[in-house]
Amino acid sequence: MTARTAIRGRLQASAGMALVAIILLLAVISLVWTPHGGVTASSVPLAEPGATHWLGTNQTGRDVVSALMSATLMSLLLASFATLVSLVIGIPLGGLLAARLGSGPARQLVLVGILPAALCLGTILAGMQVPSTLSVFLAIGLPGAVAATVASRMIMAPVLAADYVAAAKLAGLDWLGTGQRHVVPMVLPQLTALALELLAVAMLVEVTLSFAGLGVDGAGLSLGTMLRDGQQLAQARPLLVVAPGGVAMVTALAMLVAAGGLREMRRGPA
Amino acid sequence: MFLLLAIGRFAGAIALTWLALFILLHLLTNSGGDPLGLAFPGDRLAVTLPLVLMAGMLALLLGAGISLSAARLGGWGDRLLGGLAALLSILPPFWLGLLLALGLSNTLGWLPAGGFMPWTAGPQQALTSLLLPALALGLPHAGEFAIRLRGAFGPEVADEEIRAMRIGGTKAERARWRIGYRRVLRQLPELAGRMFASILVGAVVVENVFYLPGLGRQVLGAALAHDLPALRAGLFVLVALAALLMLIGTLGQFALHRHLKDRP
Repeated sequence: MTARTAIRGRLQASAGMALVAIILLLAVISLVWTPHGGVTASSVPLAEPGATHWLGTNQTGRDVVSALMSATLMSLLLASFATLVSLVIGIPLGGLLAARLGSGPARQLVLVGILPAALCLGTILAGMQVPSTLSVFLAIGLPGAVAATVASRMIMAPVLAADYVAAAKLAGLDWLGTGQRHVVPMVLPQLTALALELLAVAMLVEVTLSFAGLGVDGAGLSLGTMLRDGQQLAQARPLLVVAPGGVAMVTALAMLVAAGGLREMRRGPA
Repeated sequence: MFLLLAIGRFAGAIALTWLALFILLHLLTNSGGDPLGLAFPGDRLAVTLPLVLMAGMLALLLGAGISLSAARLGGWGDRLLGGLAALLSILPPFWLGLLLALGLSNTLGWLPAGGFMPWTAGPQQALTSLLLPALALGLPHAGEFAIRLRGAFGPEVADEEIRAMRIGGTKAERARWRIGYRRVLRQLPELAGRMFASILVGAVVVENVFYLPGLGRQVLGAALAHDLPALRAGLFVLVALAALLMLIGTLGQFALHRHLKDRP
């Protein structure tokens, strides 16, 4: 039974990661090639989807597929930097708490948990005229750091309290060696899953903040600003609203699926 | 005494965070004038509060409906509903709002796509114009609530408790349900308080999608216009209301705990 769960977990993780890799590849390719060239508007505004423009063009005449590819890269970059901030603060703090105080409250990482805090911080920072990129990092990164602290404490506490860790310490291994040999290999899959979940949530929060005008400014820069521009034309061209949000959702879902798979793998025979 | 303990235990950390946030905001933005910046029109609350209540009620009802029917169905139905709840829980509310407006009002023409009919025009029209935003705010929370509830009815429901009930003469199925209900009830008030607070803050963006003249619109408008006094006033009311909602939840939780403790 556990072997079957582990295999299923591995499959799930591979499928999720494959989808993430495809999206990432498409986003990175946008640096050198897009179906209709770079930022320059080249054709009729608001063209219907067709053979030349697969998803049509937006109000400035830019090809939607090209815009989506580069906007995805921007959103992914912003989300990953914010996630990095959260992890760099959260994991050491969580480890410290786990070592000193043992396990803490069990809270699940969810979008609806981080979004309110990010929105509050975002409005404050935008009101204070903090540069927009910095304000996105802080608004996503700080609530994310709290979530990462709670989650990594929950992950690390049982491992730090395990008998073999105590045995290694008694045998004279210092804390760095113990951590390297006994703690890190045990918690690494779970921490990777946590990072993927944080990344997914950060991406969705970034889209929300940019849509509200609290994130990066500049037309069509990130998926959120694409949605902001498309909102006015939602009735005439529903695709301008459906496509950017859809890309963000699919990316986030793929990351969450991969994270869930990693969790399942961990439960299997080590 | 008990009351103080309960407040300290549950709400302390949350309330302190919010308070710190508020003080920080106050210090950073204190630029004279109205000291607390409380001069705001009350009619904004007449939009936001009903919206939050509607969304919260929808979330509670739909979440309970999804999780209970999933627990009843079992098997594939359970998995399907679980997937639906998981999908709902990660939908950004504003995008859901855009999609709902596209689908239900522009294509099908059932509901108004935006704007607000004032209460003086009749409560029915006002409620109709709040229905789509309330759905957009409530559905993601319904998904998250359903996932939590489903956990309470899950297979890991304590065997020992069930065995004790069966010895008392209750059928296995019935025992499982009763224990599930008890678990749900035990965490419901605090969960609901947190959910309503979260919905309130989420309204900042959703009100803009639907052009509702509420508190959230004021906050976002002030932030985008760098109008610090207005932002401070709006955020103060928003944060205070959110803290109040969570406090109500915590107090309800405490009352319920005492009530449950008295029962055998």
